[in-house]
Amino acid sequence: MSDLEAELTRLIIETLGLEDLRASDMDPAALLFDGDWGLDSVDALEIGLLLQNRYRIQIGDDKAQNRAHFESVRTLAAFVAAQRTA
Amino acid sequence: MSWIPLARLLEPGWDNRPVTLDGLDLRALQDAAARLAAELRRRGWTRVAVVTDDAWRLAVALWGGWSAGAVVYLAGTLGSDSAARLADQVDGWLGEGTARPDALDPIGPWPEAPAANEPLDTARPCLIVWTSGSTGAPVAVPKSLAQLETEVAAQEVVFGARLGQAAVLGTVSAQHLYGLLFRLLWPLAAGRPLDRAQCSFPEDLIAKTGRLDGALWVTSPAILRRMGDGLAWSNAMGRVVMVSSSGGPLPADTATRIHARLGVRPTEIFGSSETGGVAWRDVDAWWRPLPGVDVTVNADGCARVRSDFLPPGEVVDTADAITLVDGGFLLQGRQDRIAKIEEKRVSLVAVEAALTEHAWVSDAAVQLVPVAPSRLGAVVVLNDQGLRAFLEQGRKAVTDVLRATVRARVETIAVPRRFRLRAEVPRNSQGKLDGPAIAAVLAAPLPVMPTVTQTTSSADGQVTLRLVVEPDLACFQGHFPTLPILPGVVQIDWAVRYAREHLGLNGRFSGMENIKFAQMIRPGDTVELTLERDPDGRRLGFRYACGVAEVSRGRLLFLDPADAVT
Repeated sequence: MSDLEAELTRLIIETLGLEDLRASDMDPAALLFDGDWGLDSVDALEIGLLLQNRYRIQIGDDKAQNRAHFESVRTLAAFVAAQRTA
Repeated sequence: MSWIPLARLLEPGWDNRPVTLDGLDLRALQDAAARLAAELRRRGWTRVAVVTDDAWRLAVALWGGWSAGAVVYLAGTLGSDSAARLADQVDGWLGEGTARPDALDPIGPWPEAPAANEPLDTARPCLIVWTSGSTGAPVAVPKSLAQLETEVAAQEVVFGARLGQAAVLGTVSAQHLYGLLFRLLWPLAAGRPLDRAQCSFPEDLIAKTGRLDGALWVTSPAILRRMGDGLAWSNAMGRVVMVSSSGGPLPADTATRIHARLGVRPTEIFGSSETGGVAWRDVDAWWRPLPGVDVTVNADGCARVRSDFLPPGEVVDTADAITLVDGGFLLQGRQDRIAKIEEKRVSLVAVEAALTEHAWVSDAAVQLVPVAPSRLGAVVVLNDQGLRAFLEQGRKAVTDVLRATVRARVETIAVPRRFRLRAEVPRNSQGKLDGPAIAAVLAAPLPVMPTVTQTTSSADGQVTLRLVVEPDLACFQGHFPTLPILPGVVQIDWAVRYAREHLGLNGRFSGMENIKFAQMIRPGDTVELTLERDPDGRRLGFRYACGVAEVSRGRLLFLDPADAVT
């Protein structure tokens, strides 16, 4: 797990109050929705807010692309890294 | 024993008969009521509030007050603010104890007075009970003697034969409508002896039952759920002819356990202060309306009650969703327990039902918790099977299964985000969910120390604590290769902490001797910890016990407090 992946995992757990999940147990490739994380659309909004506040990243309005970015912590980390260097 | 209508109880023609288990009889009630009535007339009181835990004094206050033509307000269960507001509306207070220092004791002593001969007016609203209004503030519900009389007569029709001459014991207050009807008015009309006191503890109830040939227990789910296997059940077995339960739903596994212990299945009464009793059930899941009660479904899917126990012509629409079945109805939960999450209306009852129907769960309460985003939290009580799963698979595996169970039944947004696994769901004395207490449990982080439910200091340097070992305790988290138990080191740590807190022990821990672990402590257990320190503060004896069985004991050694300073 990269540092950014570990940070995102920890932030998502904290932000969403997922106290039964341990950051160290989470696979960065685990699906955020319909998977091990079991998140929903409201959580997606919260994660979007987190990305804005923490990394100053704006989420686009391309649904398919957003879905791809939000698939797992790994895809999110790649998205954040790409936006930062862009 | 002949039936005496409530309005005619004071007429002198009836044969004398026992009223209370401690030997007071109908003549004594007639005499005391006549004396109090004369006193109230002398004072010109027509609106009287009464506060008393003693069913005899309550009976004297009611018949004395009614005989004097007064309206009697049951005030014993009001909060202090509501009682203060009531004080402006009444002429005076009757009662005993410290609640109202200005209250007159209904039993006087008052001068002798001629017996009342006129029958009481049955149509006049003569009693005020309370229901919680939409804002939570109590709303007055007036009752006439005709309503009360019809209701206890209906109970006698349904349950009288099985009761025979059983005595009436109660764990609920007689100052609520249910307790008033079951513990006082019905026994008075039927001539069954009644216990003046409210039994607050299961031990008390069982001990009293052991001295009787037959007993009716007037109870609530709150106390039935707390009646564990450690009680002297054999003293009560075969002596209890009926157990009534009202105030909230009785978990099925509690009903089954009581049945196994007593040989009688609890009879649940569904109703409210406003409607009075509506329906009852024991074996079946569906409810049978009491005689004189008609239940239909209104446009909102909720029970509409027409009843002889209501004022003539009155119809009450409840917030209880029902479906009709042949001969009665099924309760489908309260319609007013709706939470809004992200603009979606979520039925808390539906989530609770999904949880409690799982094979691991015996009780559950769900409400919003202020985590971000605002989501539901669940306080869950695991049954033996659930605790075994918890022990074998760990907390996360259990909460994952419970979440999946809920997700299969309701919208994802209603899946509880936070779980608290507790020995019990916080409820008030009437068995209703205690919202603020549930919120506190949900808001707090997972505990590191057990819940202390009782602290007794019997002698100098000695203290006994009753500890509920919640499954949520941090020392039970994670996965256990073998069955998780409370490790000895944690037991010793708790003993030291509580000794420092309660016994002023402040020397540094230096060792231990004669430590013996005899039995395991498991999640969900309630244990008693007794601590005894030597006068010089250098030795601390500790003993954990679960019921009568000793769990562990030993002596802990401490350096002289003076040494600890350096």
